[in-house]
Amino acid sequence: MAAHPWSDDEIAELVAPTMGIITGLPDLLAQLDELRRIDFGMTPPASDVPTDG
Amino acid sequence: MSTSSELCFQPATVIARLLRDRDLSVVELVDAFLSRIDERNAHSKAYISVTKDAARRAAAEADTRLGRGEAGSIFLGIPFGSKDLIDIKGVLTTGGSAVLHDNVATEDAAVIDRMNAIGAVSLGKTNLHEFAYGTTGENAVYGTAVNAYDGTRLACGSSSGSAAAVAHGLAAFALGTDTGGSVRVPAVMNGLVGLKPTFGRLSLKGVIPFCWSLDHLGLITRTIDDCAALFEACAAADAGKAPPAGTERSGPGDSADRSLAGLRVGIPDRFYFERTDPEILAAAENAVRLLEQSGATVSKVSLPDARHARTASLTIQMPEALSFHSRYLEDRGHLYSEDLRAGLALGQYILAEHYIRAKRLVNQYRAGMRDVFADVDVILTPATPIPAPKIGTVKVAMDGVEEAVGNALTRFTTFFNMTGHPAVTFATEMHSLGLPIGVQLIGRYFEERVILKVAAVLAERAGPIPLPDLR
Repeated sequence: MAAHPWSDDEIAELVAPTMGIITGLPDLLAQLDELRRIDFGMTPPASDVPTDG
Repeated sequence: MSTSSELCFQPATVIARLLRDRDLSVVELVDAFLSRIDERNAHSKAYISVTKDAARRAAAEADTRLGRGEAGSIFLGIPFGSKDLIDIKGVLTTGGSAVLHDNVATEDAAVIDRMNAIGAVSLGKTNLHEFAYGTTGENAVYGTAVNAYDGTRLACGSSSGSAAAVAHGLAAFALGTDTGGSVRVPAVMNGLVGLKPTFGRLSLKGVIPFCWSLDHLGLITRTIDDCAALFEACAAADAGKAPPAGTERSGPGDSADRSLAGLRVGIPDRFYFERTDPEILAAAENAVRLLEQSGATVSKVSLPDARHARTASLTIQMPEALSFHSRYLEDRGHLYSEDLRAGLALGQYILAEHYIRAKRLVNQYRAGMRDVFADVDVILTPATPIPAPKIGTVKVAMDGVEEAVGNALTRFTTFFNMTGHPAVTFATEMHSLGLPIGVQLIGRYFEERVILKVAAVLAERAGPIPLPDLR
C-alpha cells in the first residue's frame, strides 16, 4: 500500500509544530524511545478464541 | 421568568418543571432558543447548522404529549445541540470539516435514537475542532467557538460548539465526544459540567470516530443535577454497554443525603499538582477541604506514572485517525485543514511497534488503577492545569517548562480515556482572570452515579459561579 504523500510544509509542521495541537515528531520519537525502556513483562498470548458461546 | 434570555440560562431540570406546570409551552421555549441563536451564533460560533423547522415540529409534538399529561422523561421538550460528528437522519454531518460538506446522514446515531425516545428537541449540530482532532477547538472552516466568559479566549474543544452552545444560552444541554478531554475540558472552561462515562457505556454507533480505542460519548450540562438526570435518561439498557450485574453503585447515602460519610477520596501525590496555575491548585485544595467537611476521608494515593500518558495517547490516536481518514485523503485530502493534515502525517510515521507499546502501556495503567480503586472510591484532580487560553495561543510555559497548548489542556484528562474510567469536571471557583476553573472527579468503572453524587455535594458547598456577562 502506498503511503500518502505530504507536502514540504506539512512535513515542516510535523517536525516543528507551530499550531500548538500536539507534540512534534522528534520529541514524540524521543518519548517513544523512553517507552521502549519500560518493562511490560511477558508478551501476551498472540490470540485467543471466544469460549463463552 | 422575566425575559426569554433568562429562560435560556435556566437548568434543564428547572425548565422541565415550567413545561410540566404548563407555565411555558415547548414551542415558546424552542422559539426563545432559536431567537437567541439568531442573535448570538455569529459571535459564539457554537452551531454549524441549525434545524429550525425540525425543532419547531418536534416542539409542537412535545407540547401535544405534555398536554396529554404523559409521564415521560423530564427531558421531554428540552432543547439540545449535538456535536457535528453525531448523525441525525436527513441532516449534514460535517465533522467540522470541508471534507464532508455533502455528507447527509441516512440514519440517526444511537444516542439520537435515545434523545428521540425521551422527547428532547434537537436544535442543530454544534461546532468542533475538525474531526475532533484538537483541544483548542480552532476551526478554519466554521470559525472558532469562543469562551462565554471572555470572547478573546477559546471555548476549548474539541466539543467547542457543544460547550459554547450551553454556555452562551443557545441550548439547555449538549452532546459531545471525548478522546482526551474533549467534553470535560470545554465544559469546565465555560462554567459547565462535563461527564465522560465509562468507556462504551453510551453507544458511539452513528458517530464519526476519531480514535476508536479512546473515544467516549459525553454530556455537557449546566448543572450537576442536569447531568445526573441526563445520564440516567441516556443510559438505558439498549444505548451502550450495560454494567455487569452488581457493579453499578450509587453514591453514599440516598440521593437527597448531602453527607459523604464513609466515602474515601484519593488525591494523587504527584503529576496532577505539578506545573499548574496557582489559583487552580488553590481551588483544588479548597475542594478537598469541602469534601472533608462533608464527611469524606481524604488520603494521598499513588496513581500509575502518567508522564508518558500524552505520548501513549497520541501514539494510539494518530494511526487510528489516519486509518479512518485514509479513505478521503486521495480525493479530498486538499479539503482538510493544515493542522489535521500534519497530525495525520504523524500517524503515518508512527511505527506498529510504537502503537503496540502504547497499547501495552494502557494495560499497565488499567492494572495500576485497579489497585488504586481497591483503597479509594473517588479520585480528585484539578480539571486542567491552565485557565482558558487566548485564541491563537500555541504554547504555554509553567515552571519553566514549555508545552503545546493542546497537550497542556488535556494533561489531567487524557489518562482516564486510556483507562476508561468515568470522570466528571465542573467549575468550583472563578480565576482572577474572570474565568471558571474547577476539578475532575474519577470513579470506578460504571460508578457514574457515585462521582455525580460527590460532585453534587461539592458543587453545593462551593456555591454557584456567576453566569457569563453576555450583554
